[in-house]
Amino acid sequence: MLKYLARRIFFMIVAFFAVSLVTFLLMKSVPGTFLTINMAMNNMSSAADTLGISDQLMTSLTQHFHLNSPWYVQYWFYVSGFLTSHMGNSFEFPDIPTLSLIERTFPISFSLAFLAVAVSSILAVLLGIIAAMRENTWVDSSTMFVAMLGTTIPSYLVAVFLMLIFGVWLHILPILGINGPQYYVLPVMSLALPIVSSTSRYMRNSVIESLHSEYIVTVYAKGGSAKHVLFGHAMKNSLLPFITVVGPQLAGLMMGTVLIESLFGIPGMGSIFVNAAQQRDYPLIMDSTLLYCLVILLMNLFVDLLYGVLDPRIRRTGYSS
Amino acid sequence: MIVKVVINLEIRFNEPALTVKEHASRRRRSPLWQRFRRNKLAVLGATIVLILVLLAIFAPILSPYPYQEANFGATYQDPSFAHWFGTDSLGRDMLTRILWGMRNAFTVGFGAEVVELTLGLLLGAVAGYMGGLTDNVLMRFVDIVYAFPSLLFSIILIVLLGHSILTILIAVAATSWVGMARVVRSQVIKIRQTGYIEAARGMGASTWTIIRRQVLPNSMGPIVVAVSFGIPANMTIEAGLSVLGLGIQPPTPDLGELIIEGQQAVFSYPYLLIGPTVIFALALIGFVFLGDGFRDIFNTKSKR
Amino acid sequence: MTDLLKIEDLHVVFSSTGTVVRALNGLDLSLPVGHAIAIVGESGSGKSTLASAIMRILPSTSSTSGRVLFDGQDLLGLPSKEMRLIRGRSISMIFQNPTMYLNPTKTVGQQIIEPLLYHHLATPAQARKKAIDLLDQVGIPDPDHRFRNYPFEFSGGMLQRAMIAMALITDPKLLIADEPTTALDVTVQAEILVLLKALRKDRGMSLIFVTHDLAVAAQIADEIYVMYGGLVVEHINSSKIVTERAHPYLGGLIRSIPRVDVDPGPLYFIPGQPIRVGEELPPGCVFAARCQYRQPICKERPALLPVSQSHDVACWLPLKEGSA
Repeated sequence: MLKYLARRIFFMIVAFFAVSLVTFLLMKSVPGTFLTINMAMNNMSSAADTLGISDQLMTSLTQHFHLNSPWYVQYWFYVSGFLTSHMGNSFEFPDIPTLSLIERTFPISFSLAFLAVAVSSILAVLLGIIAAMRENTWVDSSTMFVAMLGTTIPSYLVAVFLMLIFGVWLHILPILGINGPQYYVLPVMSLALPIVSSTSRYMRNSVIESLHSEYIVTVYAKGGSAKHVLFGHAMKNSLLPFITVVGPQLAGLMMGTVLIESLFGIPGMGSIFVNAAQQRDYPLIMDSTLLYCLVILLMNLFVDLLYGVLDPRIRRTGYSS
Repeated sequence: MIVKVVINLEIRFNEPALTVKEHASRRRRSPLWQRFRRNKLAVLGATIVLILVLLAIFAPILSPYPYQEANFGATYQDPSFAHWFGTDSLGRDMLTRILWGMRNAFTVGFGAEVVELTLGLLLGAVAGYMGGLTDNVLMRFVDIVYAFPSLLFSIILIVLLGHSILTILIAVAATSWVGMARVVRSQVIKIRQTGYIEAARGMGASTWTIIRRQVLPNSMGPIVVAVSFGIPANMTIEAGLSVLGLGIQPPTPDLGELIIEGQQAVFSYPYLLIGPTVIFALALIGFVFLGDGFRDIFNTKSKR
Repeated sequence: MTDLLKIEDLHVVFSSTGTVVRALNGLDLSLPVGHAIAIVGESGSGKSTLASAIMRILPSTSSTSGRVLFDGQDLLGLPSKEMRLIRGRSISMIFQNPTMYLNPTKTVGQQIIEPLLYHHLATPAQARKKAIDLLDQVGIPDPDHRFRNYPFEFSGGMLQRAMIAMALITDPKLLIADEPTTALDVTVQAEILVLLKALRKDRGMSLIFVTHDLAVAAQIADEIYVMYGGLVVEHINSSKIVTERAHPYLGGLIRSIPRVDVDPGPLYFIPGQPIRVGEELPPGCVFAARCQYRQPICKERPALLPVSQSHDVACWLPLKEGSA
């Protein structure tokens, strides 16, 4: 088990450095230092104040940001700063350290994502089990047909439909802002439903496959009832493949939160990133990209851990079958 | 004399490929095309996609009004005979704007898919065929690309490269191509495990010939499925970028832009939102039916 | 000697979209208390269907008719709730491939105690003790530790022993073994057979052993039922299969076994193909198409009739001329 974990963590570290390096290099590829660019674009309010910024100030700023050192030195300072949460200030809000911006908005984005994962997992498992237990009946075909419809519909389209139905026609749920629990309903459902679509089908197939396995015959031969079969045996075995399918969806889910926050006017990390992108606030773009990357990697690590705990073969030997 | 021998050998090389495909369809006793026709949903999906694509291609000819023409005397009109989908805040015809929006969506959808297919085929076939260290290295590379937050990365590329259709196409393809590489690779590996690749090598066929004539034709099934699900995925990224205001810039209409405008006026003029959303959803569902139909007829185990 | 199990005219038909498969076509069988019988046949003869039919664990695409009298009760007529009380308790079953028939994500110990828990016969603690004791009885070393192992940590033979422990934990009256040694090495196979015989003697348990191997059948059972085409074609004491066999099918099977004591010459085989699953049964004798003693009367299906003490044959021949 530890072997398995160690390998996953090692990969995580490598991936994180790769992403940060590429992001950093991309940002650096823009000609000129970010100071000059942002002076030209008038984004730095302190630069706007002093149009003829003194050479002295320029030099000290340059030194502060290590702009004269080779790129890999700059990269190193940047990443170590990121990891120790000294990320400097953003451009847009030069008086506010990036860190506090993220502190304010990350919990909102994360709670959206977390709720969406929880809701979608529960719904998908339930739907999958119901469809599997009623295999080949109208219950099965209709739920799976509806699920299929949703597989390529992105969360923002689902959001639009939900807004239309619940916000406008039925007028029972709010569609803007995040001022209370009911404000979470539509955003979370928009994020959750597309995932339920694709994964419930998988859960159904997984349960059916488990139910048709030979070891289920043994359970019946021992005098087990349908209850024993489903909850004592089939469930755990169906959940394992289900988890492997949910894992990769998490990255897409985090990306979905960016769009959902924009649509619903939610002040989360996504809106910070979008704003930064629109305003060419490079430090903030980089910081939030790295943070998203870190979150996604950690989420995947958690799923791997969960899988490792549930699969006895990994628990005992460190290798999956 | 030598030429004749070579031609004969080549013809025999083709047979294993045919045999494998034939087996797959002989199992169901009908060629793939017939099986596709029998799947009504798939045919429906194909029809929807075809109609919408044609509409998008001929949008410049078909649209009743120029897309940027504002008509301040006819703002916020409900859907009517003159304006099938109504008009927006500037009096622009919604049908026109939707058609042009679909045009962008399909351009990026199909275009990015071509790029993804090329890159994916190259990397996937090489990784799968070579195996060993090459495979390992390439797959680690793929894993790392997977670790990039895809949407954010596309946005960064657009910030750096600009907002033209081409750069958006590249930005979309840049993060999505790895999925195709994985599909290709797993198919190649499956085929490698059959015997006739070794037989072909034994007869002296070069690696490239084998990949081109044996491996790729037999991998078609899952690749076709991946493509039919990849195109709507690209389209949703493209529209999503415009939802954030980071995609194609006005005055060229884009579905994402239409969605945002519709959402802003949703309480007073819901038709502004319903039109583009329904058409977009229709296109996506068409691809789902199509992709699912392909999945059935190629009898592939789905990654559901 | 009362019969623990008596099967009368058992028919099993599988029907799914379009295809109809007649797996059992009027099978008769009787098992006296404390005896062991073997069901021998090729794939497609219906022997595994018979085992599952007795336990009533056939898939829902099947329909069963006839009578299966266990301890005087017709199992086929019981409501499912009551049948469940019998499964795993009075009648237990072990299967061919233990790796596939055990849940890979649960420990072997957990699965062994389940029959006791399902039937509320013991607390988990008591069940655990009994299970470890049984693991020891079936010859698994270090049973305490093995209780907590998963199926993938066992070898094939060990796992089959564990499965036997699982079947015996409720002290059933009848054990049905569906080809338990087919997937095992020959040496391991011998060990399992020895184990089964010992356990049977200790407990006075009855056994139905399904196999395709005549030699195994002769070793483990007192009486052999030979199946072909979903019917019993011969029922004979194991000691007599070589000397007093009557049905041409059994004769053919025995002649097919190559001898090592004399020069075999060209190897004998039964001409033709066994009846494939789903094929229509011939109206007359099911074996007639492949039989070298075929006669016009074989167009009528012979019933299973006694030829001598504990020896029944479904063939016209012995009734006319004596054994083949």
